[in-house]
Amino acid sequence: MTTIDNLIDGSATLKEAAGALIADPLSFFEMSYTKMQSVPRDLLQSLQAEALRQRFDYCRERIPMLTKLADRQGITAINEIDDVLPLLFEHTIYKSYPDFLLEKGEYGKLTRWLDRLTPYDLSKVDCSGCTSIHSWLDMISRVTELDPITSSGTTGTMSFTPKDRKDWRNYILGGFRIQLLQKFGEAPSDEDLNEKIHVCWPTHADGHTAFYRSPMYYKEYFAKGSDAHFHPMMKSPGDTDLMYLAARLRAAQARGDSRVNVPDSLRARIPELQAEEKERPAKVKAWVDDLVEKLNGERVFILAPAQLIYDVAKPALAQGKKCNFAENSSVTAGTGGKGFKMPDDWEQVVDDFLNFGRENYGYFYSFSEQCGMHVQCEHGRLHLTPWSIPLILDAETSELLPREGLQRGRAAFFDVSMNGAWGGLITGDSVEIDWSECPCGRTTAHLSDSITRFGMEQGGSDKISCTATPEAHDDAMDFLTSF
Amino acid sequence: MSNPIAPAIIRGEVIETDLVEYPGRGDVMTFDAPDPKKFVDRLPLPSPRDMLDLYDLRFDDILDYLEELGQCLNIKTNEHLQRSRELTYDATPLPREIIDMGYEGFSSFFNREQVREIAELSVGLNYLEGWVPHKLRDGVVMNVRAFGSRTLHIVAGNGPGLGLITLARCAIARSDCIIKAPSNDPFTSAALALTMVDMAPDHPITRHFSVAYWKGGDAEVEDKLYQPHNIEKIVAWGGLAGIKHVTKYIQPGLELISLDPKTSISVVGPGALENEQTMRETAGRLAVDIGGANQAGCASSRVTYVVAGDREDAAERVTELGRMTYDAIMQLSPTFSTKPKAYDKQLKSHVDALRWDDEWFEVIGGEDDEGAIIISKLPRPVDFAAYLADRTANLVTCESIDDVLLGIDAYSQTIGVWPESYKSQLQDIVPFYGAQRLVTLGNALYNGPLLGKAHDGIQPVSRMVKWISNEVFEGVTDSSPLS
Repeated sequence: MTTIDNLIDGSATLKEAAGALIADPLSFFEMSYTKMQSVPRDLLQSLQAEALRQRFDYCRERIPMLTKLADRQGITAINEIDDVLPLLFEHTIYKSYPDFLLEKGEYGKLTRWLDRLTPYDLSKVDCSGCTSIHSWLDMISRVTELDPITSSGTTGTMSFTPKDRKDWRNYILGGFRIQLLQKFGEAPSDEDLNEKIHVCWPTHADGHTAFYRSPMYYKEYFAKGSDAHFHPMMKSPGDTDLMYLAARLRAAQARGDSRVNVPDSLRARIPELQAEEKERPAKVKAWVDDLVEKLNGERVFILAPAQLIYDVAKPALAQGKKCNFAENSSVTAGTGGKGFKMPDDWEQVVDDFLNFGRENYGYFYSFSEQCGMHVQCEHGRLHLTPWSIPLILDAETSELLPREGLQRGRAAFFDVSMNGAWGGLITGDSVEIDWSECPCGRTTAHLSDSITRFGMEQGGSDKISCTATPEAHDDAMDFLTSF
Repeated sequence: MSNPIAPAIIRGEVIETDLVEYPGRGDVMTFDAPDPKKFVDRLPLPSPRDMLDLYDLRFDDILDYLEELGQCLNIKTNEHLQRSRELTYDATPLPREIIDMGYEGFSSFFNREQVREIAELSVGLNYLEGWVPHKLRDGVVMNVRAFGSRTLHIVAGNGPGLGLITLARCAIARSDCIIKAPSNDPFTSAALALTMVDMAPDHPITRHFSVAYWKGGDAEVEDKLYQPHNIEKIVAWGGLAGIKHVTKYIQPGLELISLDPKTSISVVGPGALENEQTMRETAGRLAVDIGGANQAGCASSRVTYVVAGDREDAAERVTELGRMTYDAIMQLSPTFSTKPKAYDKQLKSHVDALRWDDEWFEVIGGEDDEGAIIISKLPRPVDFAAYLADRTANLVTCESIDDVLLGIDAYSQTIGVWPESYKSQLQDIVPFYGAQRLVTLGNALYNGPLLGKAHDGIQPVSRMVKWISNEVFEGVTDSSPLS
């Protein structure tokens, strides 16, 4: 198996190395965070360019949406990284189906739409038994290699991104386990790679949104499949159709409308939403007891977004309950940085409850459409995973900004590790990238932690218009549906 | 270079000292304005009694004042306006031509008959000018009069004429007027006030008109100012972002008149698709309502529901209508509609994502940021319909009027309808869902922001005045509740 060392010592060609990187990026870097972040910049760029070429050759005729785009631009081959610019997908492409299909439960047509976005062949998939979005996605992940994720924003439209199981592995094992548990500069220890680690999950154990589906993979790659090491707040899956219903209800409410365009069978489930809300406090309490008592002194992995953890932490603290995790745990808490507003005391409350020291939190930037997971170094810089090629575009002209110095613009990435979907994606995020060397010693380009969403932001600028646009929402349900 | 200054004009006095900088964000420019803490105490009317001088004016005096002001507001000769127009070019996302169009309309805005008509239709001249007696069935005479109030106006910045409308409304209602300028147009209302000071510094209307900028939500200003002893009514344009700072001050004695943000649509009935000639006529009308003033207004059409019935070629006909509409928009006079200054990036990403799907959508134009028509072949608008802007509209292929009704909600303002006869199917049902104004297609922008004088059906002038009754029991013997 070709590894990064073979490329560095000349025993593998660029072509072989790129092939190995694509096939299994984690083995290519020998499961080592240090190796991921130590490739000389020029060499990494050549490797990425070659991997991009191979990805394009493979996907050119297999992803119909890409075929169409490439045909239209007359692009038949990619020689260098810049050539991929006209072939990047807008992130909105993953919700470019007509909403009417979802409203009418036309899962066959939705599958046909999804088929155009993935190299996998979905033409034989039989959707006749699908009665809900959840059952449709269950079925897709049962009979194909795909395990797609959904999300829905303020307009209530769901996106569907066709990730496959390998993409999930690259993201969770490669992004989270390898990068968050290992120390840069040190070889991975046996514990880092193999120890069963307790996974604390602040919501449902399974589902199809990124935040509901990922715990299944955390369980696989952190808890090594052990039920005893898996601690979700809710054991049941988060129901995709209820999420859709909730997002729809909120979008309608925001418009001052009592009508919701969903199938009647789904509308009839509104009481389930309320019941779930009602059951939450008891589940929160049981979960807090697990965290505080059962996991006292244990090595845990916990993602604790403030939107989900604040109302857990506040009552727990009032009863004098605090966590006490082992020092080598991985704890992340924050607001996701995308414009959510929280109570003024959220940092204090969350920090006090987790009791892990704010300075010890892991910070990272990632988005669910890809496998890149960019972790913050001790100098506060978010280092790009080596399979993500950054293409930072001028916010006004959309032209590629030079690969040097400090640049701010719209983030686009080509993720050469992506299998389920085309790796080229233009995000809605505004980022600042620094191409110069970072004093931490990691060799990849790095982002500052001030990442904001373009457009569609509300308030703050004191600009007033008489034209209506949807207002931003600010609570846990939005967090859950939009990630 | 120093920043441009947005002066404060308080009751005839011009303040350009104690400047503080307001840094721009996004498409808002950086400018300086007087420190609001220094003048906030001078903004409100010292005593309610000071309203009396407005009552020394006859209505003809008010018309004289406004008519003369209109003559002074000639952009060719008025230096204040020339300066503010120059600055507004940079301060707003609107193209120059549209700003020019707005400014050129200033001199005719205060047309005597138009002002009289606004007064008559909004409140009724007799109620504004004196006590109107109503003899009740028991013989009691109830005299009713509409009195001016002390008002504060948080105006929108997406059109330069909103300060003029505010002045007209306040002058008619004999109200004291304080305008809080928006950051996306901090100069135009100030130029209006400067012109008033030059023209008639001691006139009661000038003395009852103030314009200032402070950042919306600045508690040091608003805690003092937004009190019932200073202000009786706050008229706020715009959405939650505009009024969220205000709502906490609302209490008995301080009323909020919220001019909610709105969007507008068009409805095209089956008759319009009959032949090439009817389609061309319809397209020309649609182009005016979509492209006029670059679609910046709340009356600008964003989604068009084309009721095509169950004809088989419905989608093709609608696509053809879309092409004609696109062509007609491109042919509009550049002083009325022009290529957007900076096409909304987020919107572009949405539009481009649909470009590759010709099964359910068709995108016409938009590759040069000039504006686009998106055809929905299924009977639902695109999910980003609320963000349609910059001459981008969505034509939706509908089977029946039920599809249209789904698109009408609390945010709906104007519905442009064609053929005219099709209105009869809408006019008695749409009001329940939220629309406020039906208009013959091609006339959505008629009357500009006065919107059929009723302003979104909110009737702001009628609400700005205080309705006082004086009940006369003289000679009535049996009306006492005690009798």
